Amino acid sequence: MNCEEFRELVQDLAREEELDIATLENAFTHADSCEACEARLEEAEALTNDLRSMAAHYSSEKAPVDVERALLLAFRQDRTPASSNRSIRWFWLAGVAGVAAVMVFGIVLAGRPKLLVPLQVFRHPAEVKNPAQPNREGAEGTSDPQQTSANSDSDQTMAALNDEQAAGPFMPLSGAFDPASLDNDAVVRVVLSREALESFGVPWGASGNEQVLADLIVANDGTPQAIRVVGW
Amino acid sequence: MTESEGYLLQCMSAGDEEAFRILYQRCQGAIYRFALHMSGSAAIAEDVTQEVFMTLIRSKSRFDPSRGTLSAYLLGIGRNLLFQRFEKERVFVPFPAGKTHDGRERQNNGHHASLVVPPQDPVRDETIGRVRHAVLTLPVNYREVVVLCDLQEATYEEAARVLHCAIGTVRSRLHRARLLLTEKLRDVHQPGRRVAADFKAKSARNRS
Repeated sequence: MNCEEFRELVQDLAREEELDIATLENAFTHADSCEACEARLEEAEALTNDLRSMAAHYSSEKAPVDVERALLLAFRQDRTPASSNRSIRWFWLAGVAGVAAVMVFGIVLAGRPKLLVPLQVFRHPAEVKNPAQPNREGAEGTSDPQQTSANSDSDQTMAALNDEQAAGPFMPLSGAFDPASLDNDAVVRVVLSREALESFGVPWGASGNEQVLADLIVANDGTPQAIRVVGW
Repeated sequence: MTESEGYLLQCMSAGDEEAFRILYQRCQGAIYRFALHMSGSAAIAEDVTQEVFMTLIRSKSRFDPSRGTLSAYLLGIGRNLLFQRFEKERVFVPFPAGKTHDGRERQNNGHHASLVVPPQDPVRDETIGRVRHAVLTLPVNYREVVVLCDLQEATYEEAARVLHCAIGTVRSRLHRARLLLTEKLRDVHQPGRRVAADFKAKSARNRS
């Protein structure tokens, strides 16, 4: 080993780094035979001792207790807002979901008025627009049409019930009609032409007016289920 | 990374304060001393230590166990924070003009710490004070390898992980840093030379 090679190794030798035995033997043999390299090794070893003394002197140095306190406080604060934010998020999600559910329920109910009012009696607009249109009572001269159009809904219902008693039973328009299912259907009063009446399969041979006042039982899907003639 | 370190980190991520406290107790000393030896200031070391663990609290999931120990990861954070601080506060002064050990002109690149042992520093032993001063006046890239390998007793591999460089780079920097330190501390090791130099200087003044 020459001086140049020794200089490369001297710090590792002084730091007691792991070197192979052959390298160590060569290095120390060279140091024994070269005063300059021996002095280098001594300087490097002295430096190692100084640095170790310094390391030992500071080995117990650590951050003050205040730092730990501050960090633990920060840790708690970091944890707490996160959990409360999660709670707030869930609270808002639950609230929004609740409002959405109520709105959907309301829309469904608004779209299904017949669920709330199983049986309704309507006065067809045509009947109102045409006060001169005779009904059975009008034919008998006992009712004023204008007065009839001004009646309240309850009056109309009563009139319909009277009509039902006077006009007789409904005639089924399809074989599947079941009077027991009337609760979910609606009765609609309409003005039909004779041809329309005959298209329902109800022959109408009466002469005179071409239009007929009738009540239709209409299913939920809009299909007429039964009919009865109220007046003409 | 040891098993218990990973377990503690998991517990800490789940909000376990005791796990955080244990991790802190385990790692804070090395980080504090690294910052202290690098800056020469207990106040800076304190701030850096606190900020390192604040970073751990804020970003627990960033640590990748496959890339080294938690201590090395935290030391790396501490090193970055120190460099930011050095840049921000400009606590450096020019290295004394002169020649390096190999005869080249020394450049004042501004990357040398000026901090000396403060008056309230507990260091009483003169030799330790001189060594400390010598370490603090090393260029940063040499200082950090001395602090890690010689003062913190990290292996070349561990130091390389902290410094994000090759093991060979750590070894060569340490070699050079120790040569610089040896030069700085020559008076301490060979006081006769200093006395002789002082005598020569005094004689020259008297003659003039």
